[in-house]
Amino acid sequence: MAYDKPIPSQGIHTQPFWAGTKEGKLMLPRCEDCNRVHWYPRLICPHCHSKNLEWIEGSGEGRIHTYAVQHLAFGPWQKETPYVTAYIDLNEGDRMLTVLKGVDPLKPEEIKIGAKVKVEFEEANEDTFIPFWRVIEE
Amino acid sequence: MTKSIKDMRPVYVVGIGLDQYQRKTDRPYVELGLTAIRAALDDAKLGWPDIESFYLGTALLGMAPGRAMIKHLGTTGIPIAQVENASASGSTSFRQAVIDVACGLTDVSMAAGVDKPGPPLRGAGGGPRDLVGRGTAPVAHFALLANRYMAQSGITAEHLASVAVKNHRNGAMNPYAQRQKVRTMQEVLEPPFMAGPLTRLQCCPVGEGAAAVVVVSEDAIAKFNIDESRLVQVMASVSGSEQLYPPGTDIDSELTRITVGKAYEQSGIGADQIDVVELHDAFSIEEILYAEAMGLCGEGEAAELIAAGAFDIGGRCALSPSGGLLAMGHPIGPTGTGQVVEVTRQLRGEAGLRQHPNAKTGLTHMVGIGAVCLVHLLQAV
Ligand SMILES: [Zn+2]
Repeated sequence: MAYDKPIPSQGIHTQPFWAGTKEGKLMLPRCEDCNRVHWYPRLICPHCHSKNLEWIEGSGEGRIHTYAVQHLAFGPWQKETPYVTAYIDLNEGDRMLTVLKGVDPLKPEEIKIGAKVKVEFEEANEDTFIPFWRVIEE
Repeated sequence: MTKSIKDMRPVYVVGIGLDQYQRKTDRPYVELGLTAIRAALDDAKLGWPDIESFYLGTALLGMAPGRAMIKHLGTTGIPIAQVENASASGSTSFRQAVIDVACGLTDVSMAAGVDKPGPPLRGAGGGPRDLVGRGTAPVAHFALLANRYMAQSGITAEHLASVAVKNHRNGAMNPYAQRQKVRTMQEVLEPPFMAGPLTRLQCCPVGEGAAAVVVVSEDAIAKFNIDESRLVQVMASVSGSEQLYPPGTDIDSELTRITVGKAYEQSGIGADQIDVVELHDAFSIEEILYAEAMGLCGEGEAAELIAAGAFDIGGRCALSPSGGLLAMGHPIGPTGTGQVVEVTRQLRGEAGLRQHPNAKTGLTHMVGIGAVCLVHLLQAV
């Protein structure tokens, strides 16, 4: 089925991220001066304000920092409810707000904070593959 | 060497006014705002020509709505400005008025807030920052925080809901509140769920409303012969925004902890002296997080204390005696100014059924998207 939800916009400073998603890679921005990974992509390192940023291929793994079942959504997201969102603590550092799949929104008590998760990608259009996460180990 | 409000001219709140917070009606915003402004002027026994500067907190009314409103009071040539700072717009307009008087730029200034809900803002899909789409409501973030807090502290859904039970009970005694109905634990826990554990009654209503406050100097008190038995002094005014915190820090709590900490430090007032607090309880979990961040109790203790009644009116400190955002409502622009109205009423001993006994010192707290935090400390003279 064609992807019918709003498609995230792309810009010069996010292009390597989207290019990575097409190959199934989670590309992450890292600062060459302070060596820290940050999420989301920026023009300037939020930690040290350096402009010397590079892209690294992340492991695509992390752990659930927290999650919540969403019952209230707007537009095309409405028909997806209830669905689960989560903050993922990336193995490389920093935190990503994302959709968690493969969990039962009607049994949220089965979702465990700290569970290991892995990234997957859903095709939205030929240039845009949107990352989401799946639990791989509790 | 920089100064804080405490080092400058003393500033006093001498006039307060509200227009009831409620669901959107056909009344124009001008009428809402003027109702609150006239009430504040009457309360202070001052007239519009006595006001030397005017700040309007508003986020939803478009460009320069203040002039169209105050022209009905007289065109007196004073400096006016709209202040937009998301949910903290009305707190920021108050701070601007306080700064004018504290600096000696004016002797009498007014802060107000007014808003009416507009169409919801729903942009196109965001960038990688927003991978859950622009489809989620603000409640999504706080549901994530609620689940994290519940897993770490072991509190129950009833503990979380007790915030809304308390605040609806307070709101039921407030004729200006949008929700004026006592709600039982069972009613609060009933679906619909908005997100995570947060039910409808654990989320604030966003309607229309207005609030206004007059602040003055000691010179103005003498000049206008203002009743000194009802004076409330502004002891601290702190405005802060998000900074980079160490990895793993809870951003929402940390911003409040830092901003409130500065207010305590500047005023010499400690958390144990606070009698009444109006805080940003847009969602039930927030009151728990912020009570702890303000040092009103220890980490992980707030939910059980709230459920046990420690933060009721008449308890060790009254949290959200107006009903808070959860019951009084959150019309955006007016909310922060309205908190000053409620705390002033409490410190004067004029809060009627909602009166917290012997209230001497109060705190107001708003956070806004951005992320900003505004804190004021007020004290009965
Ligand atoms: Zn850096």
